[in-house]
Amino acid sequence: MASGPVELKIRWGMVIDVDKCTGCGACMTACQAENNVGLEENFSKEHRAISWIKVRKLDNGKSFPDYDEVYMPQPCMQCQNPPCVPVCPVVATEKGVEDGGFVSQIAPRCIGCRYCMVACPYESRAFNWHDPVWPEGMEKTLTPNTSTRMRGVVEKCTYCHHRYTAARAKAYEEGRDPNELGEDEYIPACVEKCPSGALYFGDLNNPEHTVYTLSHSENAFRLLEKIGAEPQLYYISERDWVQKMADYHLELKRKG
Amino acid sequence: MGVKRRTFLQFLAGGAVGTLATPVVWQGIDDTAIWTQNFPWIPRIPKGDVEYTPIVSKFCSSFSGAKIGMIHGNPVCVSPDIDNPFSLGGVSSFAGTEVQMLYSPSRIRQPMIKTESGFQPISWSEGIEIASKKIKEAGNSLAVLSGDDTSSVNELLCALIANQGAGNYFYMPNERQVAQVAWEMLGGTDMVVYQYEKSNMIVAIGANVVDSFGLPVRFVKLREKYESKLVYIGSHATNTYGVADARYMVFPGTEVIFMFGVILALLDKGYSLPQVEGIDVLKATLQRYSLNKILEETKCTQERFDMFINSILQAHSPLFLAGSSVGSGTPVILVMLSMLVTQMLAKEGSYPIGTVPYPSAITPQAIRFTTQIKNDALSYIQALSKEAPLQCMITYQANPLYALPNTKKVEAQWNTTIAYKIALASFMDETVSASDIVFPLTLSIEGIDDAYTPYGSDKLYYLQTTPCIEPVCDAKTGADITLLLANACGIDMGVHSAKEFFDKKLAQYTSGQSNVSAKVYSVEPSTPPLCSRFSPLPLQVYLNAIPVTPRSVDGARDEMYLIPYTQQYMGTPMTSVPPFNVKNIPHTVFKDKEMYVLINKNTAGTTLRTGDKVNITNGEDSIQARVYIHESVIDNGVALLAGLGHTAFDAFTKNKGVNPMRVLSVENVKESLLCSWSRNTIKITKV
Repeated sequence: MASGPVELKIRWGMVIDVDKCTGCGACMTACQAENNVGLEENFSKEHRAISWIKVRKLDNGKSFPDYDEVYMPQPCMQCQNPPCVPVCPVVATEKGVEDGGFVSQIAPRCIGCRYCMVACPYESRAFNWHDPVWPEGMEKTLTPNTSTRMRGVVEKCTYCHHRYTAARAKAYEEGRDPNELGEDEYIPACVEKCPSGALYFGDLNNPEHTVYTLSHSENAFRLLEKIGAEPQLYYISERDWVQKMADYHLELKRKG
Repeated sequence: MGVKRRTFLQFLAGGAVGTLATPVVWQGIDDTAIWTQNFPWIPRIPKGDVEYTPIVSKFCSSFSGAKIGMIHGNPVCVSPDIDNPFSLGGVSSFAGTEVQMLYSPSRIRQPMIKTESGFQPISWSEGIEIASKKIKEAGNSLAVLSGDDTSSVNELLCALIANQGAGNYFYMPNERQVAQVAWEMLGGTDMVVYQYEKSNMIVAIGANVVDSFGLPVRFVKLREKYESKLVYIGSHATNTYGVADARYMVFPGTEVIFMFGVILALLDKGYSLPQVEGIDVLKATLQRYSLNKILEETKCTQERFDMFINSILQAHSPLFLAGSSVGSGTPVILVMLSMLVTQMLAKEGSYPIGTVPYPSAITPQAIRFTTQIKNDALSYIQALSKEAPLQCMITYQANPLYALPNTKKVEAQWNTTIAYKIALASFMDETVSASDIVFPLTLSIEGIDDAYTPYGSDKLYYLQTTPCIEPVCDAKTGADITLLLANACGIDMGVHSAKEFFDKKLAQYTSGQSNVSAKVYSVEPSTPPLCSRFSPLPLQVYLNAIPVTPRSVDGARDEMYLIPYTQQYMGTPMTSVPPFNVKNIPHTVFKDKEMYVLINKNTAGTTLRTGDKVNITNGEDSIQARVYIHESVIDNGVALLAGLGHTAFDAFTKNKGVNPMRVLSVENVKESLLCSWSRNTIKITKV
């Protein structure tokens, strides 16, 4: 792991309200289409399926009537102190300090050692065991946003970084400061297409952005906070068991 | 000068250190890595600006308003249209795949006719000639089974068969059909809509309202807008369970009994049933059910039942929505009781059920929608016989050989009692595979279509799709195909093209109106009069169908119930799971081509463990799956995801998993009422 979290002036991040998520999977579908993620006929091997955002189902393990469950969409956390970055031997993944704190993934530079996958505590990365395949004709629906990735490299969520560059370019053209984007100017595909409104996106350092308020709410928490990766993704839930399950460290803190 | 051993070793060490230290080598490795991995066979992405066209996607049940992103006229993505007044800025996981589904491996790309060696391509003119000849020969022994109850294409197909003297028009079983029949049994007229704004509590009984019931995308948005409380009653934790404000679990198939208890509790609190014709039958039935008996049957505790009653008494005009987690097979009586309770609890001026007129036809020959919607497809198919086979069946966007319960039986009937089968479909499903001739349909971004007040709407809605590309294959719209068939049969429909027909429909609904936006037209509903009668038939049918089940000495129930459920990302029986959605299926319900049934610890007991393979049978057919022990299903319940187990379609879904519809138990097939499948008794044995 790096020596400590990097200081960021702008900290693009996400807040997911798991109490609102219906588990419909629209975010997964949106992400695949937006980022040209290849299709797989054999989808039963979940651990090898490439998906930049996964909707996980959590339950409290109790029986009815105490049984409770939530859906937890999980893209890359874009950690402020990313465990995946220092282990990469070819600098194929970097923490962008200047551009809002994204953890980049440069697929052509990747040599496929998968150290980053081992290091990532959130299983946010996926490895291309095969060349990406689309059924005949379907390759016509590839978007211009993200290059396709080849066999032998790791890939992951980028918070739709191409949308960020497009929003900045637009701000330049309009003579505005590209470092002061409004929260509606740059939204990843998963957030845009969520029909439940469970996903929020913006600058976590900007008090004018909704995510700032939400991330400071008493129900906000981060996954595995105790390991110190400082994710730029917060979850909110009023359910105590969800917070406890997500963050053992927080539970200890509460107990004092 | 000779080279000594020490000098040689120094040279090697120096060379190694130098080689490692120089950036040239690392740069070379990096460049090599980059350039060798730019394999030329990796698909290249297009360059250019994406331009967006607003559409209404009929691809999914939510009728999402979306914008199709196109590069050089080629569609590449689907984005939500926040200006669309119907879906209010959401896109479902299903609508989000419409662009990719244009090129699905299962897409039917040209008309085809079945020969001894399988399907062979045929020209449109030849196909229409052969099909129209069969239609004419069939006379009134002709039927249509439609899987889309919202499209005006039904009107054209209706007129086509009505001209032949046939009136056999059917819809695939769906929630709207049950609601309309229930509404009529209570003396209601017109089409039911739900006025969510008049209620601050929605009670979903078995209905997965946030995912697979009605219009989930619109429902979620409206619930947020009106800040409605959501209460879920069911036997399995569906998506609605997870986001509901309160949840009450009942024994599988006892939702009707639970509603008996609700009515009894309300009567006890001073509420009264409407004094209308037939209500005495309900009163007499209620007298046979004490609250204790109801709690015993439903497995709901007194404390939780009281909690529920208190919550609905404190709510403002709670709206009860009854449905099934698989989108069909809900008993009519359950919806009737839900409507009755909604009426009993409605505050003055806040009755949350409204009505809008039925769609009106512009084709004079068409059979009225009120008549069509009551026809029961399953009992009609089951009643066909080899001695008097149906001469011709036209299926429109319908896949009965996958989606009807007791699938094996339906398939046998279908293949032996229908002489000629014409399919209008977009994808190669099970029913298309069993058809004699196939005509490919356009998707909603390729061809014009419409939707009239989809079930779950809160007002009258007329939506029209906006084709933004030419068909990517040799497909036509349902309206065009029907008009071609009518023309070949010598029938004058009064219109000559799909465009002319849909222009007339749009003018019909929007004439003199100003609130037309992106071909989305809406009218506020009227508040209907309260129920004027209570037809006892659905109640009697339900009571007669209650199985007499053996009980153990301690009163425990031994029978097991299958609870099929579906999710939006699983697509529809006509599309199967879109290739883009297959990764959404969790490994807890499907892994290594095998399905997992969810059974809780109590039900599994000591005999079943996670991973055990079991045989599931309803006595007529059987399927095999593996056990996954999970507490998201009630005692004696066996939950199984529907949407897999296809024998058609493509490599993404064909021969993967099992279809739970095969082992459902159908009630009241012989009654003059819609069939239902809500109590699916099964037997499970370990393989």
